[in-house]
Amino acid sequence: MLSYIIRRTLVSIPVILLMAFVVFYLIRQVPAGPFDFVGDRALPPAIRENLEKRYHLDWPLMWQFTSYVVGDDVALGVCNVAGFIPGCDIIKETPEGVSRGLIRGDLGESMKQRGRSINTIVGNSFPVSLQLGILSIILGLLIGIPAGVLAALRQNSWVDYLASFVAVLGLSIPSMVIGPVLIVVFAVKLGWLPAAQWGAPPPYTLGIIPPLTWDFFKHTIMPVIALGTGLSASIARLTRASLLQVIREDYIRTARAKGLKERVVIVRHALKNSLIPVVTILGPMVAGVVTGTFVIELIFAIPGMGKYFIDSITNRDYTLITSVSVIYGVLLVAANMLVDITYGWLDPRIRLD
Amino acid sequence: MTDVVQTEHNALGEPLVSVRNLEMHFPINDGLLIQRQVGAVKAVDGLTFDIMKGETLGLVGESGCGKSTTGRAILQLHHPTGGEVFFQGTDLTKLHGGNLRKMRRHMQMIFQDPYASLNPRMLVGDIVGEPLEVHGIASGNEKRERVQELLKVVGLNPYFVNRYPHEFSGGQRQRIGLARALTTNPDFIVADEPISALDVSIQAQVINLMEDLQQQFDLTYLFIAHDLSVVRHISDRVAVMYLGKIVELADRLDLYDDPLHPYTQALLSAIPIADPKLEATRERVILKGDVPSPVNPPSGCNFRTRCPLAIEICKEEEPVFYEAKPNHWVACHLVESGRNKLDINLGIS
Repeated sequence: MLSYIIRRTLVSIPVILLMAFVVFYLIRQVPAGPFDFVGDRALPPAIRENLEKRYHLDWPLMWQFTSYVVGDDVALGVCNVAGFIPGCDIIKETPEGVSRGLIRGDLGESMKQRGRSINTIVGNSFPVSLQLGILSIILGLLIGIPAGVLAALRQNSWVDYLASFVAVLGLSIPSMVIGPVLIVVFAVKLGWLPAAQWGAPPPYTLGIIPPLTWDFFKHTIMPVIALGTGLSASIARLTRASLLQVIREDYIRTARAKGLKERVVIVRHALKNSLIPVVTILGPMVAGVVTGTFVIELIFAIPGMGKYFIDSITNRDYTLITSVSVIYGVLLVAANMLVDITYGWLDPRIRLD
Repeated sequence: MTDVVQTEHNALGEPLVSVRNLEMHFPINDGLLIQRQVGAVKAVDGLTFDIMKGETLGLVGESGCGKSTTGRAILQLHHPTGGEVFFQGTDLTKLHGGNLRKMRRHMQMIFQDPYASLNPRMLVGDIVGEPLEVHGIASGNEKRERVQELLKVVGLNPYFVNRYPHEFSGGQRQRIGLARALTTNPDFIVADEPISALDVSIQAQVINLMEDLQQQFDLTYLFIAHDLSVVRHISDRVAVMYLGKIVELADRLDLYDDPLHPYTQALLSAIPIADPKLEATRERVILKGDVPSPVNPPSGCNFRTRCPLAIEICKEEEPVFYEAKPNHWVACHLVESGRNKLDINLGIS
């Protein structure tokens, strides 16, 4: 198992680097750069040139990426040893570096929020998105799986139709509608819950665990519901379809013939076998949700990462967008690895080695 | 009906399972908002027969005639829509919930597909041992020992308890299925085409194992199959089904030597004979057309649409299932007049 994890991790490094390079390259091909404007005014050319120099935008692209991955000092060191490589003349003129490189855990410096490192930005906002995302997934599973199971066991009854109806409703009403409706009802009219903000500011225990206080939860209830209902809808649909298939299998009939209680037949024999498709979508779902859902974070004014994802694109904050993409990529790879490990537990036919 | 059945008992011993007018109709529902029943698939339509203690009753018929449904309905894996099933005097159709579950330890089933009938994510030891815990027979070490003993009985290595079903071949899996069925020490086993998913070389092994187990554990089998030569080998008596009804039921030798129903004759004509001289003289009856739909079976005799001998009365009246010869039951209008024989050479010496 450990060797499997190590091997998977090593294999995913080039994947993430390739993805980072594609993002790195493409965002630089989009018209307009990070230093074209400050507010509505264009920057004077001299200042702009200085800024571009500071962030190495005058370097050849491959050198920029090299320095993003391994750090300025390594790039400079390479050029000092082998100065004949094209582009080294520019690099040697650069007095000081700002990037210590991905390999040293440095995600770079933001081009728009100058002076703030991306590590700080992400360090403050990612745990918030993670908390929101995990709670929403938990809610999605808590509603989705029982609803799907119930619908499958009472196939073509009113329970099934009701569950399907609610699920389609949940899927088709976007969170940007559910969110404001919740705010109007529970914050504005009833005044039970706060309309916005996050209950607990960083730092957190172990970097991610928030204080489990009412102040924290009262801020999370509405965004988690807005986000979780949509997730629960797709989980319920998938659970239902998968379970319907499994309960027609011979081994379920075998289990009944053994004289097991119906509850045992469903929970022990049917449910675990039907969870594979659910686990499959859970991987990308987790990665997508925990990296921040822009709309929900905007509606509830949650200081999460989703905002930076969108802002970095519109602002052409080159380092921020590349680094946020890298984080997303790492999470996706990690989530999928977790999914594959879970497969091994759900289905012994799938061996990880 | 009851007193004729009574004579049968006297000749063959005590019945373990008595099936009376068993009906299994699956409803067909239609309607946009309000579901209405618009018809029924008459998968099993009025069966009456007994299974004697210690015997093997073969149940044959072509695909879709209701053999498997009969087996499942007897074990209450489908809830029959009509009729009764007496097991050692208890009417199973009247039992529900816990009472029915308690009865299940006495009657088990072996399934056709050894690849589908074992839960892929359970260890062999758990699959075989689960009924022991459910019925409170054994747990812990005792359970483990009993499971290993059972694996030995069916010819598997007792150390296989810690393996998963996918690690075994089809024949081994069917042996696991047998061990599982034997766990609770049942009296009655419904074997639903237990060998048709296996290679021919493995089929004989499993059949022989089933015969040995029958001796050893005093089992009664309902053996469902479509392979007539296998049924001839293993059965004491054979019942032939067509479109949800039993058309003929007789002692195995009697049935194969002197098939009374035209359908049985047609079926038997399909068995190839290993002796090339006899095989050369064998004639086949190819039945015309398809099996009619069980949703809308023909009037009168079910088989008349394909019967080469059908006459007017077959259309009008449903033939009675009666004892035409001692212990030889048949449902055909033509038997009494002696016009029931197809003009063919079955090649049976």
